[in-house]
Amino acid sequence: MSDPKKKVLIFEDNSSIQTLLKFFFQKRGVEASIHGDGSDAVALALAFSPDLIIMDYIMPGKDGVEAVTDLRQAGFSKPIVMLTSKSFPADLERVRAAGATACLLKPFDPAQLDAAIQPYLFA
Amino acid sequence: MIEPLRLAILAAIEGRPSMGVVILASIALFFLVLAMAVYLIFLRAWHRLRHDYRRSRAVLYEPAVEMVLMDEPYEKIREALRPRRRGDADIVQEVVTQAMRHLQGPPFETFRRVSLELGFLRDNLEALKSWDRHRRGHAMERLGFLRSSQAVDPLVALMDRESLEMKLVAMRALAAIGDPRALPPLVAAALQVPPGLLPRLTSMILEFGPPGREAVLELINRRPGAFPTSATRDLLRELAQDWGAS
Repeated sequence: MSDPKKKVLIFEDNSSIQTLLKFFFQKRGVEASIHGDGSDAVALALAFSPDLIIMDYIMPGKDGVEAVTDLRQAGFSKPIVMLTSKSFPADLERVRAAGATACLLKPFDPAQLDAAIQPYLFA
Repeated sequence: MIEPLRLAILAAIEGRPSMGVVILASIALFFLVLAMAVYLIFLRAWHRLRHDYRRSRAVLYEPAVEMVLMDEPYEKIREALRPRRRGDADIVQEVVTQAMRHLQGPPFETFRRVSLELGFLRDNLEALKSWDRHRRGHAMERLGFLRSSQAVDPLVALMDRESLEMKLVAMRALAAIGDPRALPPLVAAALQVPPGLLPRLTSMILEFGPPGREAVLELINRRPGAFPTSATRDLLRELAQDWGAS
């Protein structure tokens, strides 16, 4: 019996990046559910049961760091990869402290994103 | 004709306009407002039509973005992005630019190669001469993505004439191109920008590699007051790490 299809929950408000991520995961045979706001991250994570979450740092409503904090406090233990254009050490430290598993800088190289998600989706 | 008008104006200034003048002025004002409203309606309709048309054309080229991310053959991607109608080149470039803003690595390079092969370098160099600042701004950004040394001199020349906002777009493009010829004008511009913009500019200059580091040190020495201590410390730490790595 083949493995069930892997699932990724994506929180990203930029429609161009949404499209790029959709194609990226489509190519890898991963089911992606994309949302533009992190406010309902916990409810969506419970409903969708993703194997991995991709989270943007800056979003309307609730930002990525707050959403990650909520998810970890709600007991979500699967990996969360943060996508951010912020490269200052203080911002990266905030991402790590919130409980993100990895952090990738925008603009992103699909090969780097691939390397970041491989251990969690296809190990 | 002139004399009655002069008398009417004088009467109005003195605060005793005749009823006829008041009525005429009211009618003129009414038509002026009407004309402005009609103009705004037409302008809005024109923008909406233009937007809808561009959107409908962009849809034809967007599958190329999917092809790039799906690692489809290069020839197929280039054909998918070839403008099919006069006026589509700018729409294709918009589609490509949208993707390039968020990507690095091989997909970025594929879009760059296609853009160069489809002649977008020439189009954008030409667009730098446009009277429309938005068009010039888009051209600057695209030239940065194309990373062609041919764009260095025109961009440097524009920096002298543009507003601060546009100057920053040109600087960003020059940093993306990474030709060391752009460093002296960039440092010269950095000596004049408001202090709040310096961290951003310094990051751009650091993208030039070793010559960029020298330029940043020169900047810190020449504008020490403009660098807050913490920012300078972070920069020096970054420089030290870069030096250690190279």
